[in-house]
Amino acid sequence: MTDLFAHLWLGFSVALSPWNLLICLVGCLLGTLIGVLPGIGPTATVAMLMPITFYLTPVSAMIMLAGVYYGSQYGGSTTAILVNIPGEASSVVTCLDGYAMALQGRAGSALAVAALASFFAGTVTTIAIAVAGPPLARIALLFHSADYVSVMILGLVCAMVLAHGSLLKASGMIVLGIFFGLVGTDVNTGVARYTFGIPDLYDGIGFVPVAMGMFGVAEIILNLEETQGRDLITKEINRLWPTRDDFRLAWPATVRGTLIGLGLGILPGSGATVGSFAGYSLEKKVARDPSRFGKGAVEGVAGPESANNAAAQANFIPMLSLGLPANALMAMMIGALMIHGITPGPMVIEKQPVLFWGLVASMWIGNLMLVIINLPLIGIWVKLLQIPYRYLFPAILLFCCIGVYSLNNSIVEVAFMAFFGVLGYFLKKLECEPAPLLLGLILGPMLEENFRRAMIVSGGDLTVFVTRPISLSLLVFSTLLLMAVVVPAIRKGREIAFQE
Amino acid sequence: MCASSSDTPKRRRRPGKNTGAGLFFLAVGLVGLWGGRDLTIGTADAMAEGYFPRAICILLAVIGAAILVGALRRPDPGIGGLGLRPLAVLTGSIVAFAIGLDRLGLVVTILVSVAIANLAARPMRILPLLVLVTVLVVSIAGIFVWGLGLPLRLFPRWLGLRI
Repeated sequence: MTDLFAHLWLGFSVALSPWNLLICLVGCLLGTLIGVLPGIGPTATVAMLMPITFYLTPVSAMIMLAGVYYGSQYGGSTTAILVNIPGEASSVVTCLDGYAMALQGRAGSALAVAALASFFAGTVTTIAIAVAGPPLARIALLFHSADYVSVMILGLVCAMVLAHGSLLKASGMIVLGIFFGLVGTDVNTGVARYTFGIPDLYDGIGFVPVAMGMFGVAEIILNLEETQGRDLITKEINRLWPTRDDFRLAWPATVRGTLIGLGLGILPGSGATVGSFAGYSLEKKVARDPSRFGKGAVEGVAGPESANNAAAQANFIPMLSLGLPANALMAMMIGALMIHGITPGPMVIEKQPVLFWGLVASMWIGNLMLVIINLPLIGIWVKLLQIPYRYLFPAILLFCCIGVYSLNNSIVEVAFMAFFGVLGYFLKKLECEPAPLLLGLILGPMLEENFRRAMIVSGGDLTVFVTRPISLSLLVFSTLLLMAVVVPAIRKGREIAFQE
Repeated sequence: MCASSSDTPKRRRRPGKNTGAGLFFLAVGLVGLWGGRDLTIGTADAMAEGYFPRAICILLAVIGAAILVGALRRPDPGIGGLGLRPLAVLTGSIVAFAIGLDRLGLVVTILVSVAIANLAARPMRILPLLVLVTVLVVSIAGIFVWGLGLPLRLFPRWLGLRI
């Protein structure tokens, strides 16, 4: 326990340095901004910031990128409540009751509840990371390559199960991502695979052009295609502080949302969106009068808002302790660390205490900043929403272009981005979600590496995956998870949950 | 899917979403197998560079086939309308950026790219366009050229300006 305090002390001394405070503030503000703006999400933003973080120390880079991620959760809920536009996928459910509250003139309450619930969730999750991270990393040190293969399979299964829509398509996207990950020079034999003689492909397909293409460019095309004008019916915000009744109802919902978000966020393959949906469904189930939901129930704001923030931050637990990305955005974070020559894994907490504890401390500070800054700034964010999309999208597009270019000063990578934008657009038309693909792209090389190593150690014996207890239990869990979804009764429930 | 939508003329009935996805995954899997036919497989305890790719390609093809079979058995919703205009315009804008950056310098490239991208939606008038370009030039040059020291020219080389 004293250890924990010593570590937190170290963390706060890092995170409270003026420079890191500034970086954290920039990240949070940027996150809120892109959270408010529909059509650009945290994944594309983190991809765009990647080249900039190259010029920062690893801990500052992580602080900024993390700020963007959880900041976007706050921003997304602001627009969901005020104008019924989910700035992020994770705030879709907040629209239901948040906007209903706004129409009743309770926008201020809804915003405050959302912010306070998010802050509570952020605080609890920060403590959870500090407490659970190091022991988990110690367990992870016992992992052999075979166990790693099984963890990754669990992660990919989770990504499949939790993805929107068809299970088969999600698995197809994962495998397609792994396939793209094969491109480049094989590290073990030095043979070029699928490079078609293009020198730029020898180092493999970078995930920044892929992420920017699929999450940035393809999104813009889809948004332009829809071209529906936004109707901004902003209601006046009268009182900001929730009533005593709101507090009474929101408080338990926040605790439940935090716990469910935390639990889901630790699982690889999930993220804030799943957390918020689960949080909303749970609130509806436990409510004495479920019919109030959709008509301005304050639990319908507190539950999903705390859940999405908790899940967003809990995603860092597998990333920092196992080196496994829970979702596409965490994969980008791993990429950012690798640019700095740090390979995420169980050794990071021990070898890079400044990085780990500094990041943990900054998350709590960032959450505090968001609550303090955001409530007074709400008016500005709403103004920003009135900028027509036709002014915004060329700016987003050009920042994508220059961002990709600046990474390696490579024009070919800009062309790759265009290619993956087109591909992402068509895949989206086929109802294939891009997130599993990015996860596959990142995990693919790790999977191959560990699989090959496991096979060398076991002499080509596949049973190694079921004879090692860690690996076996992970595989059993993956199978159960998969079965749970394939069994029709449960699948029906999942569809309902996603429809809401 | 890429293949099926660009090869077949648009006038025909649009393929279903699942059919398209199945065909696409199947095609990539098969192309991957074909493209990696020269890679050495090795043995399970000493895998060469071709072992894992083959496994992945076969898996991809199988998933594609499974989606395809499902699509043929159940009703398959058609692909919605394709926004070919934004698709073509945005791709063009990015390509213009890639080609122009080294040759025309940042200012002209941004102007050209934004002007092209502007055609994707209801175009903005010339004044807002120029304001947007100015804002973008200043912020991109500020962050990437002066801030991060990216070796980019602001103006074409032949103008002889030293910035």
